[in-house]
Amino acid sequence: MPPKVDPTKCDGCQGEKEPLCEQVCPGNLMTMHKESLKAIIREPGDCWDCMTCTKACPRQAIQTVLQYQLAYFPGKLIPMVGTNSVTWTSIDCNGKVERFVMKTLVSGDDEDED
Amino acid sequence: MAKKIGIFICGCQGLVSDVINFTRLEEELAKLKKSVGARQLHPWLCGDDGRDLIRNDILLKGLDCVILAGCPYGVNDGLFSSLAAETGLPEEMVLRVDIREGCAFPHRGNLDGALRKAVNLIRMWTARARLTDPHIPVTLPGNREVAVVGGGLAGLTAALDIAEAGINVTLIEREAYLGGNVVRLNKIFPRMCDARCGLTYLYQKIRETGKVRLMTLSEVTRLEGSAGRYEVTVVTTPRYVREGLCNGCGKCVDVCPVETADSYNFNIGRNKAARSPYPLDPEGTYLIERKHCPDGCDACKRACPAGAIDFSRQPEEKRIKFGSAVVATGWSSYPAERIERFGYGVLPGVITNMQMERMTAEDGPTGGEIICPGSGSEARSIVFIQCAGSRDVWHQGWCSSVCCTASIKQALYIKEKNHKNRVYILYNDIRTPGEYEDLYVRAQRAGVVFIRTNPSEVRAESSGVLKITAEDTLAARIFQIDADLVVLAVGITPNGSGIIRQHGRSLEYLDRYGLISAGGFYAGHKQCFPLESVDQGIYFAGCCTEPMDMGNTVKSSLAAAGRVLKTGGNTVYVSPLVAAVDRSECDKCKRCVEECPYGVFYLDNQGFPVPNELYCRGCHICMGSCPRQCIVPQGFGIKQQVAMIGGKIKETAPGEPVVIAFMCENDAYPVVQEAGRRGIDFPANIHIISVRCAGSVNMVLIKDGISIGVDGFILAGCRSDECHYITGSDRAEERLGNIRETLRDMRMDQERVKFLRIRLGEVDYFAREAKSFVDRLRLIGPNPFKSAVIV
Amino acid sequence: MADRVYIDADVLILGGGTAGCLAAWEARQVGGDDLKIVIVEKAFIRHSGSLSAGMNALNMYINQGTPEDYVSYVRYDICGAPIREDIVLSVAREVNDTVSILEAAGLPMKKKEDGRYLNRGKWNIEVNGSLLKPITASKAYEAKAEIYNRVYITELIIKDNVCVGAVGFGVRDGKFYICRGKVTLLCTGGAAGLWRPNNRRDAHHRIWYFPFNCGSSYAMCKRAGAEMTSFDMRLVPVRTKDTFSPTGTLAIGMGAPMVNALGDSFMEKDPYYLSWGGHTAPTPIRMLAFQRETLAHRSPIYMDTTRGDSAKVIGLKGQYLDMSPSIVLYWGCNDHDPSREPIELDGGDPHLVGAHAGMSGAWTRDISRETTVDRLYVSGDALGAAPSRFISGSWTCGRIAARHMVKALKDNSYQLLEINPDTLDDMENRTYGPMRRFEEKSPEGVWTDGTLSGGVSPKDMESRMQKIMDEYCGGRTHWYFVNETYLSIARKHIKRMRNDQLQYLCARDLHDLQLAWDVINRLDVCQLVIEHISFRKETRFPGYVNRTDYPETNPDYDCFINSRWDAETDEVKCFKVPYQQLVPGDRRKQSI
Repeated sequence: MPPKVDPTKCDGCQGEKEPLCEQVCPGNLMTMHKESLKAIIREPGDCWDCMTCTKACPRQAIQTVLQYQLAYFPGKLIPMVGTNSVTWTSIDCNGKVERFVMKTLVSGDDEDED
Repeated sequence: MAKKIGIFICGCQGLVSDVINFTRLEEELAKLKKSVGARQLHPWLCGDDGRDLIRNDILLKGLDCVILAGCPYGVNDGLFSSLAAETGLPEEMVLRVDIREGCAFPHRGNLDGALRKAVNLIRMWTARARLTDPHIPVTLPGNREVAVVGGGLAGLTAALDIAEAGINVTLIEREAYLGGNVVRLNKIFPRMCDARCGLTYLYQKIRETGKVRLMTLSEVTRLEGSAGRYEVTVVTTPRYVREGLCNGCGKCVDVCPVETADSYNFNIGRNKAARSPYPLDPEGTYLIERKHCPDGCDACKRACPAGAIDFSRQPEEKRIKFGSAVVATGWSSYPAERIERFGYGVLPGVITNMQMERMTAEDGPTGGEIICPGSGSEARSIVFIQCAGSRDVWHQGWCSSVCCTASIKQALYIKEKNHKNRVYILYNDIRTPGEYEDLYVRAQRAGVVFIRTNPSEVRAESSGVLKITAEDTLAARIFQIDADLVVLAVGITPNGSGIIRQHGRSLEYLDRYGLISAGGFYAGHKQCFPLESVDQGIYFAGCCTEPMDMGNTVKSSLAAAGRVLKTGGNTVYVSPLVAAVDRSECDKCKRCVEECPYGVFYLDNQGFPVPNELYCRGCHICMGSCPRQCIVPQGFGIKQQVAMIGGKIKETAPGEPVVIAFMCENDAYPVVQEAGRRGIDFPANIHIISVRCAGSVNMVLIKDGISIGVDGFILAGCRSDECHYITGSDRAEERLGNIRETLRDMRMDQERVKFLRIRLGEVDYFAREAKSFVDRLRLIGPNPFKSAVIV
Repeated sequence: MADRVYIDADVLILGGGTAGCLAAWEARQVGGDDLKIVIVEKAFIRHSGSLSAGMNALNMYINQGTPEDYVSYVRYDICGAPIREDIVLSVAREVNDTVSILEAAGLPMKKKEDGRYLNRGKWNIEVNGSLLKPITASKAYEAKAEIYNRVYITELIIKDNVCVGAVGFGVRDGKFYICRGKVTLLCTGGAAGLWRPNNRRDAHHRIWYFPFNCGSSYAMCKRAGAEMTSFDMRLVPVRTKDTFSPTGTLAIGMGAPMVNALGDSFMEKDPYYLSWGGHTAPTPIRMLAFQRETLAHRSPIYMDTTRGDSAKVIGLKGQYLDMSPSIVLYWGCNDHDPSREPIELDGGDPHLVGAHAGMSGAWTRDISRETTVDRLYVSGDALGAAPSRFISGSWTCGRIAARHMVKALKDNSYQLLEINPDTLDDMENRTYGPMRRFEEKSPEGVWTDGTLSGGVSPKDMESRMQKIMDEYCGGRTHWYFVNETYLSIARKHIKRMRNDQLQYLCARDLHDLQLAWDVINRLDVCQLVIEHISFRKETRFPGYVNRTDYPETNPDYDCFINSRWDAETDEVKCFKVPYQQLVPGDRRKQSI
């Protein structure tokens, strides 16, 4: 499920040396394209689909797309990362939407006051 | 450690309690237990017994933080801050929740909604209070010494003012003489007095203070440090004449074999490598300008009877420490040779306005005679070309504001010398503001011919006469004038670039707005902070930021001196609200570095961004930018904001959308207050959080809100060009646009998030937009994440 | 010569993963504020390694019974084979404590009404673990460990059988890092990618285990001359077809049974499987059953989610999102509704994972986790012969190792050892070898398609290795069957690759250099695997390693197979090490 970077959204983390996705990728796969100054995956097949880059991207410019050899087009899985939670929107190939919310972190501050 | 929070709710003599049912409010708030140490509903907290109640509770119940629900910040601030002072509670631990202007007033027609909204607001602020801590003061060691860069009119004025306040000043001047451009003027307008008179007076006064160290022939090559602890490297070129030995006999000049164009006189006339003292030269000795000396020549050394000449001297590098500075590097004339059609540099009869000053000066190279430099004959017909290279997209876009008056002044010199001289001023628009208009009238009466034209070129006839071709833009015809001398009124180019750009911090982003590339220093906010540089403690005076006349130069210099006096000190106190980075969370993405409008971040040796507290203005745009949410300023930061959103914000009526609005505290939020004050109704669904700048709002707040079922968000900032922090509202809009796209991808309605630009006074606009937004949300239906699968 | 960075530490931790982060934390707890703790990490510590996608359960937790009961379960789960009971026991005694540390660090635990953790079976608790790695890393930050990200460790520095430290290269800066530690903990994970994966081309890393773990901990220990154990025992996972997502969520979480094409729940029918407990049979047995059903042409094999609690299916997706989000997209894009259709399974490529249902790793002297090389400790997947520690056990393992390391450091007043400059130069040459070769050959030695005419790329070398291992060392192609003849072919090729072909390995940049070292390490591990499997002349782990020439268990091999690599002869000498049973009882049965 390699990451695909939307060039209209990616700003190469403002042209800094290492965009955030490059910083975080466990496989050292993301890098910055020298000419476009946007993020690019060195080798899509080497991706493990951990989605770290997708979740980390501050511009929501990265989408993880299943390899066509595994599944049909279209269909999307969009994580949206909050402070202590993440939401997932799954849109299947028929356009059916399912939504999930899960906790990611217990901050200690957010205990119920009542 | 759990905090003890006191919640005090004010009925405001019925203004609040007539709308919000206090009995029901009490019931609702009774559910809030954790860390609430006191809860009081009172008819009028401003009154003596109200304040006694708060004071006693703070002291007796040991409250750490107090929430005052009633009127907003800006109303009765003194009453409550004195309360804090009396009880020893830090002022920042008194939080105000606006349930009057922001709730009771606008929702008079929706009593139930107002009550529920008040409950929500108090819950949100309680969540904020739990995470609010007293500020830890940020102080840095400082240095009282001041540096003034530039010894022209501006530098001398500022130096004197500062020195008179008893502070040591180092004045650094590139030339051997003080007075810069002004000392070389013949007369100064509007009083037409001698330019050297005032400068000499300033110089004398400076000497009298004994506080100013004058460094001439010295240039700043490097600036390091930050407010309170700056250090500059200054390179001083030697004079090659030993102090105290020169007896001023002038033999060195006599024997000197080289002649060069005299830069003091703007290359009118010639001078030698060995030269007599300049006027306003603090050393007052002869000096040798070695760069002009032929190799191996030591004629002057041999000729000097006092043995004062010493060629072994080397340029000397000094490091000077100071706490604050006035930068007064002045201006240069726009290079006239770039305006090729006027023939400057090719036709000897074409000169600039500054050359004209030297030519008319009694001590100038011609002894005050107005001649044609080529032939040496007297010039009888003189044409001024105004706006030469100014207000011109191919040269300088701006108006230099003084050239019109300067040319009129020079025309008057010429007429005074010989009223038969013909003087033409070819102008675009004559700009003689204020009392300078008198000079204009005087010149007209004296017979100076003003022609509104668009000069196209200057050519030399074979006779040597100059022919100017121009279009008379009033008569719409082409005409030609002959002249002996053409004076190009070139404009002012600020001597801006240089020092600060060598500071090692990236200011390139500022060039996006074309300010530095235009030549001037970037001075903060034109209206509000006209003298501030991006470096705290460094202020600008005079023409280094923009063209101005002498009166304004003096004013800006006095103002800069005042700023320096205010900032200087042995300890520098920094606002505790400056940006701070939580390194354990930072992934070094450097987005903060990029998005800070003031370039305050630098990278430490491990690559972490570190804000320079002294440059930081606390706009918190970095906090809004940080994808890791690890910019955590003291006070009201992202942690508190997250907690407020995470607090249980409930519907203000069953099925009604819940809206959170982040509003810029400068423009947008005051508009809401104004709406409340005027009783203009807006939907009670909207819960307002006032923030430093719309750009300080991190998008994670919206993501958090969406995940817990908030139905809509408003982010309100200033108009693009009115943002108090330059880029904040634009950043906010851009980020929000990004979120909107994500929402669309997620098959959610983009309309759930809305960006508003509100300027002060736009009360009706706000109310209208707020209402239509809520109407739209009702139509869209609830946030689909309300029914998401919770894992 | 590359720029050099010298790093000296009291406690040097190689690998900032599950074990490494908690080791740093524990070292700070017991070692005090003055201890200099350094973590060197190949990627970025907050998101690196096997936890990077998150995890929805902790597979080791003592919900009931005693630590001894857990040992008995672990023993049973690998078919009663020998395990290091001392090590498993030491972990089981502390694992619950460790989990509470992580809970305090912010890990969202799912809880029952009574406030206890929500268990999934006996030894397993559910969490919302999508930030498991950042939370784990936060313990290292909390410990104020000095963290060096993006430094790839290539070799340990060994002097007279004492570990001095390690060297590596900066993946971003290209600098040569020389790290010394008074004690060193090696925990750089297990090994994926030795065998050819099921998916090819642009999906070749769609495998179960973290594909960037190349067995460097095994390879480095081996090259350091440490005693290695149990490379004859590898994990062959039964996973969801195509995505290779974990099945525990389905099996234990939903109670979905394995069925064949005929709809038969074979685990509950065949007396052999029943004798092992039916559905809950040991992991290798479930794999074996999968193979047998397939070979008997009763495939495809499914996990029957339609028979489970269908209301749980939507929650199932949620759980996968915390750990293996790709399967949710896979279902979506293939119009697959698990409540209506069963989920097809497949056998993946084998992995070496010391902390999961595998046992390969370095042999340790005692529960201190010190290897046979002095001052070199291992934890996590690097530690051998003690399976089923999983995440929570690896955290714990790191902690225990750290405690012993700090104690040894203080008791013996260890000092940093000097390194011979020539040794360093040699190591540097080896480290940068593939890249320097490329620089020598480039650009004239490049074909028109950009590939190198004078060398072999890491990717090509990896493909060759994976093909050999797949076809001759019991890969998925041969349904994990192997015999001595196959092994001898594998041995021949791997030997040739290691001894002859590595001189052609070329890396065009630092990323390539990382891949080159991945393949160097993998080849080293392949050698261990071939020799160990060849030495164990029996089938002790049916399903994992099926020896067609020795299909039965042989009591003579009821022991560990350990080995040492001889650098001079490039031979792996295998030998038997006896098993010690500490927890009494039938090894083929769970005590509870």
